[in-house]
Amino acid sequence: MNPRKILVSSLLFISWVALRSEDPRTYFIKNIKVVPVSGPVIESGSVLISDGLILSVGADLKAPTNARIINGEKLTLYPGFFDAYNDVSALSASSGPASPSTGVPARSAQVITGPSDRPSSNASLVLADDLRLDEKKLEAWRNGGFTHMHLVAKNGLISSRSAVVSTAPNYSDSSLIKPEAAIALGFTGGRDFASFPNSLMGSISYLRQTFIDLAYFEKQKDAYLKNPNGLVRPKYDKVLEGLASAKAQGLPLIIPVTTKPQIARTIDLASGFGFNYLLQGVQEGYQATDLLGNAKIGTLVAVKWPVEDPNTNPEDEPNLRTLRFRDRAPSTPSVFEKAGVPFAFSGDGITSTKDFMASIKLAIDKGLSKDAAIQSLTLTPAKLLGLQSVVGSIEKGKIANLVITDGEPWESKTKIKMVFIDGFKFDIPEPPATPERPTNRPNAPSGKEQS
Amino acid sequence: MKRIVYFSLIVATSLISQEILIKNATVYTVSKAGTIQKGSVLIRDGKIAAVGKDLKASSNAQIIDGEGLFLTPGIIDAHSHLAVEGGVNESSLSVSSIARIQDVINPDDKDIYRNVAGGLTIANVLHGSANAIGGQTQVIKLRYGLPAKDLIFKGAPTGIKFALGENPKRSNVTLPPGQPRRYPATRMGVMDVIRQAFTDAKEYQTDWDNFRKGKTKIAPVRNLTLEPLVEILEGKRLVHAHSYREDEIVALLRTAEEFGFKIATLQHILEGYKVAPEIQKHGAGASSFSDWWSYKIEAYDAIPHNASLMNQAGVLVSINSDSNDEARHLNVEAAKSMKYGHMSYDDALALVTLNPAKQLGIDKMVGSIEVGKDADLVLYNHDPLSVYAVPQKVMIDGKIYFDIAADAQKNLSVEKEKAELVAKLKTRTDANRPSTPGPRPNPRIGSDFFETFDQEWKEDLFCHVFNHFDNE
Repeated sequence: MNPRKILVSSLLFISWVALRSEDPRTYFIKNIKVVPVSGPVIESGSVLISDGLILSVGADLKAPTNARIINGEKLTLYPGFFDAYNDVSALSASSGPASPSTGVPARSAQVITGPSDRPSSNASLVLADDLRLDEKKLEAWRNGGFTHMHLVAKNGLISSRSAVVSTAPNYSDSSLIKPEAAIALGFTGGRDFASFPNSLMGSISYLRQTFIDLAYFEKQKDAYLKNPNGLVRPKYDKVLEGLASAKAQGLPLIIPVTTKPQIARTIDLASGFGFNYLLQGVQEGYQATDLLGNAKIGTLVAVKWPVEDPNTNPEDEPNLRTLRFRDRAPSTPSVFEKAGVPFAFSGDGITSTKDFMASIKLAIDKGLSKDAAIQSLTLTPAKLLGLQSVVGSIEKGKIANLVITDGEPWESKTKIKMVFIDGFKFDIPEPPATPERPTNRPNAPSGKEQS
Repeated sequence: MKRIVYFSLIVATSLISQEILIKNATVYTVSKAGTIQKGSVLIRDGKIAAVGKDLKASSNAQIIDGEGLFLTPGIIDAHSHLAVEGGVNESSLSVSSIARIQDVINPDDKDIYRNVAGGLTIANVLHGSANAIGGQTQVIKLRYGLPAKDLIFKGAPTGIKFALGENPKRSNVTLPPGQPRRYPATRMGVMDVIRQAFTDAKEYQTDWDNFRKGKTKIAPVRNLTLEPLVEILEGKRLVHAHSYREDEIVALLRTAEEFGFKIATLQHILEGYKVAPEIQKHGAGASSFSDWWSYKIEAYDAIPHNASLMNQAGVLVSINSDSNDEARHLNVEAAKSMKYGHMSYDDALALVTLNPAKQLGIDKMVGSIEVGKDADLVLYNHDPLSVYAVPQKVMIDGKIYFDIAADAQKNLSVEKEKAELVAKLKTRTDANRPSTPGPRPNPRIGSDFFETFDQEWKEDLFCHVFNHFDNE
């Protein structure tokens, strides 16, 4: 993030704080079970927060006189939940991010003649610059205990720089926890016959060439900036500029994979990129620990577990591999836990926090420990996205993004009672009674699949 | 992991015993040794250790009784589109040499197993034919159950696809509205694209030479499109050129000679019989179909005697599948040359074994049953060139990858496991199913990015326009 951006966002932040100055924002939460995630659980402890930060955590703290006291008896305090990777549409207003307006008419679409035209590559764009979030969606995630989310615009082979935002209401730039978080890659390029790349192998080759070009560009530019006299000036390339800037900030690449062959191929490909990278999706990870375990590659496991597509022709009998995949994908987190593969939960494609928690519950049923489940929902995503010093656990000095529940978050009867975002308290209304979900899926009429 | 449980029992036995002896079989060696009645083949550590009669193996050797059976070298397909994920065509550019089949080999593709069951052990997996210069090809061994990197046939020379005629020029294709027409639109344009590409490649080669010799201080940036073309110029990469008509065949041979490289194989080459002496003189191999023709305008002049006539003219000929499943009966395709053109039995069998091995530059390692070569073998129940021939056992590197008896057992266990999983998945707490559909519904298997590769438009375009032959 450039310094001006920091200044602007801190000014905005300060003015926001000033506007709310009638709120002391000093809370003392006591008699509560504290799950700091970074350390052992405190069965009955207290947490003091002030001005949006956590001031102290302990078993026997004294409440300062100016603090508002919250009695947390029979309740549990967690760090705010963190969706490690979701599509920007999970929060964005219907039309998604607007295109940047530069005041000049856009160049007409050009015919792609090869990799140097940088097809579907948006590394120069910063998603945070154009975010328009939907207040209802923000509220829904907040009410589910998610205090911050990593939003990705999947807009090409090389996406815009992603953002970590808080789910506070009245979205503004001050909600940005990390305006530039990562660069997601994709493998879907052109959709018609003449658009490069229009095959998976073409996309892979394009990425390989672009990162070779990047390394060359960085060297060339470096030499030119030191002493331009007598050197041919490097050609301006906004995609390479964007990638170079991301690399200089230490942003990771995020690469979507599902199957084991895709994981193997991607590790091979990405190791030549000169970036840190994370794998996203990874639902066949349960059989890929031989590839991931030793390398300690960070993963953002998509918890929208595979199910039968409701639009499937009932006469299309799924093959054994598909059935095994549906059965075993939810065991990926537990397999990763045992193998020491770092993993965070990605809600990619999930739009309801209930579904998110039910998916985690299924992973726990498949053997994931509860400790690891809460880690993957809080501290691990913070670590993988370079935010471990500001969010992810209940520790002194971290942002006061907290959740108070009356039980384990993945249990369906558990209620989220209260959420703190930047030290602001949000009481969660009781959800209206909803009819019980039917236990049998309407799309899987009994007997059909066996035919 | 459990995926390979199928094989583990079979594979384990062959791993433990270092030696395998196949005895009493009719052995078609496809070598000077000819056919050995009641012959034996001794396999040690995945290689053929001895071929003859009454061979002796060590006491712990695994014995396969070939009584009444027929043993041939593993079938080799010089033109396959097997096990490719995400499309075989990077069709966008006239020169798509940047694309590499090796990047997208899908070892989970069950077509691999189906082809092994048909006796195929090696496939030259080619890029599609939409471009004058297509993507880089990959020779694989059909070691089903192993990761992609272990399917790659190490030691096989690298290759590349070229294509001439209707597919790269596309002038007879009706494009969807709004889509620009890509250069070239004529056969002479195709040749121009090739000539221009190699002119660029020579320049690139010179840039690197100058840098390596210290004439320039700054290294050129690596260009992944031109690198493989430089390898062709240096004789390090084999060119497999899709071609039909006599005029384009000769034009390509001349263009290649102009730049000082050789065409390794001419693929399809349905009019090859007209210019067989020219092909022979250039030294190119020919890989054709047995008796498929008239599926498009440039395939009207084909005759089923093509392979035989080219063979008589001294051209190295093979018969290929151009598909992901036709190779299951490549032995029968080869046999057709005996009916049309009176090819000898040995020559016909070589069309799908030794000849493609020579064309791919792997004949020192595979292609015949000779001492020192890889134990890639097929054991048939009938004469291998008969329509009744069904592989009983197929071996790659001395490991059994298909066994017809084990396969029947395996099918039972697959059906059982499927039924169990269907029942189990029904009882799974359905809570994970999103109440509202996400931005992209998760496809059956595969991530959004990999699997939503919209194959449909391609298949539409290709199947309808090219009658399935756009893969070529």
